[in-house]
Amino acid sequence: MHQLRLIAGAWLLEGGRWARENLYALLVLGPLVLGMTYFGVGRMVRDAAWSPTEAQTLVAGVLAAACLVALSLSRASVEVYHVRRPEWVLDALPVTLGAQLWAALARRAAHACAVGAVALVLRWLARGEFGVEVFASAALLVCVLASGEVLSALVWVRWSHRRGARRALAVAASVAACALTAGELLASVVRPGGLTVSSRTAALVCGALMAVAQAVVAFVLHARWRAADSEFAKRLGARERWGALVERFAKRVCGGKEELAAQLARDLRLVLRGFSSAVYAAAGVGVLLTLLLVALLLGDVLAEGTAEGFGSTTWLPSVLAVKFVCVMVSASLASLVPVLVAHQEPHLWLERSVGLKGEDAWRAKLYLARVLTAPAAVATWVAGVLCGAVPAAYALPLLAECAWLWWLVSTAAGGLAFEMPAQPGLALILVLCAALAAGGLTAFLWPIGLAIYGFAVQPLCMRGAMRAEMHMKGFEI
Amino acid sequence: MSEESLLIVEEVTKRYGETLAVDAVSLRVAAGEVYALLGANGAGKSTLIRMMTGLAEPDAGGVNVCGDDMRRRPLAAKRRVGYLPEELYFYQRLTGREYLRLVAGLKGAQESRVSEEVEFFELSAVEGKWVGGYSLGMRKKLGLAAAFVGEPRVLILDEPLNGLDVEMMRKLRLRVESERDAGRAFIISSHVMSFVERVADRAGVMRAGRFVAEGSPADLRRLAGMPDEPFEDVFFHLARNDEV
Repeated sequence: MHQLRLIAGAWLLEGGRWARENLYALLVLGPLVLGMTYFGVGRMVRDAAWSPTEAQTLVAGVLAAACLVALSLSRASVEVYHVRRPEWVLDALPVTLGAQLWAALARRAAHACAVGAVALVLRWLARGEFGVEVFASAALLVCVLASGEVLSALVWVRWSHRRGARRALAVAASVAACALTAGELLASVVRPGGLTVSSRTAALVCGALMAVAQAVVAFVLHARWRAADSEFAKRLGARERWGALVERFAKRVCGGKEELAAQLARDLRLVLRGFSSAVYAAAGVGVLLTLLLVALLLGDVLAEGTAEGFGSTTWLPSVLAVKFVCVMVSASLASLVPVLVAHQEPHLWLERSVGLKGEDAWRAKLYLARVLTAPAAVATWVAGVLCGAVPAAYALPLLAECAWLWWLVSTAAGGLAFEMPAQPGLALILVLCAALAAGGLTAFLWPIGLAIYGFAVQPLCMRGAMRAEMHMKGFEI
Repeated sequence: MSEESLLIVEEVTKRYGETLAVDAVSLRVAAGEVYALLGANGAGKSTLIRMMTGLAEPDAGGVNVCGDDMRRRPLAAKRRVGYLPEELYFYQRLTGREYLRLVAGLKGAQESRVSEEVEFFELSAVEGKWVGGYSLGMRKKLGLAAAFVGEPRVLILDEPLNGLDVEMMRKLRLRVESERDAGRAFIISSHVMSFVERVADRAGVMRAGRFVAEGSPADLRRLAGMPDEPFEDVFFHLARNDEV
């Protein structure tokens, strides 16, 4: 307990000082985002004519929880095994295994508290009532997420180390078990009217049991595996699988410009090796959105429209759905760019020491955004055509529209790559907003994209190159 | 030097996939002895050190510190060890003193030792500043201070001289010698051969995960047949020559 107190004390001290450094973001941008959420999302939620059924809320909750757990796999494994973190010292000191895992759980719980808080805010926006039961569900949600993330990280590292179908199943099972329980709790917090009594009781009982079970299993496995897996966790992601293929591809994309190709090849390798669990989350969201598109096109949710002439086919509900999903999947994949920029921040001395121009650094990220998002246009177009929801005569024009959307979204995302290199969270929001806004308007009417491209994206790119130049010169931006 | 072995490494082996990093290495370091671990990059020194400190688990063999087995009684064994790793990661927003107090607390050491180490490693001027703003040399001194805090009986220092100025190098050498005379055992991995020759009682030269030569610096000179050449040449001869 004494050791845990010391470790937690160091974290709190450091966290407090971090908060002091980021006072601007916390005191100005935080309320701004909350205000916009209240007046925007809150109003939409309250005035919505349609509200999801209990089953839909549950499914959405489970999917959100699954994304959260998947997103935190690499982060949690870093916290458990102290990969390139100051806590490495704990392994060399007489600190008990129990204290180390408690510390990791506490850290995860602190992160999960943000999820619990967001769930409570959503409930408040939807004018739901608050009672002991709601707060108990939110607290259990935090416990289930924290213990589930730590357990999943342990099993994930074990599977990465030893491989095998059984271990892969164990990873999937642990993520799924956590997602099911946390999703149910999330739904019971967010849904204003609450779930039915039986669902509520089930959520609370399952949550309590699952939190305890996950923590107990995590402690047992941690004690058993830590010594063997600790070193491997530090080498995780260091395998070479794609090799020369990536380099050849990068050279071709960059038109033979060596300084760009080298950066692009490195960035692609990092993404392919899953430099962060954000890669899995972005890819997962992309796949889910594409599946959603297929479900929309095959189901009877979309209104049946008729086109008055070839030109108006672009506004058919099914065609619009394909284009909007194309934008969303592209934006989801493009969101990896600012995360990667922040990830590379400590290693930027290399680019600086070789005198790389800021414009080249920025252009490499622009190419990366284009490469990462290219599958989105192809996948959504293929889904639209194969589902038979797009008139055959409009298949090629739709491909051109998807390609245009891809180009616009990736240019906007790549252009903003160096906008906030030290604050990936804010940069992510900015990139998503810009990409979705530009893409959404263009999806509705493609010529708007020309105006956006000319008046906003091009100046934004010039600004992006300038910001990158400043960043390479070491100015704090 | 006493006959009591504070650190016993027995037949330890470590493999990373197909690569054999350390191959059945054995080693004993007595109280009041400084043992230098030498070898080219990739020879297996750091892996061996990581196994001695409990940061890596040997695939075979074992490590014993002051009578405590690192696998069976890791906490007791680690309590006796002070370790300076080659790569240092610190909390960027803690001050030097706060970091040392954390380490002392986790080691169960008295806080008064923190002030002594701060003074010895000349950190007084920066002890109240965040570690994130420290220079390489300051960070190394902080790492050394953390290793010495708590009066460990075995000190394992991986590249302790990197980033230190000449004055601090000398000070560190004198400290190592005085701590050795007080009965502590040292394992030092360094590429600074003049330091090694001056301070080490014994040295082991590693190549491809095994010791290819072991003995006092004078023994190594004899083995290499280079009595008057710089010790760097002796090391180079032993570390690279397949016929040794």
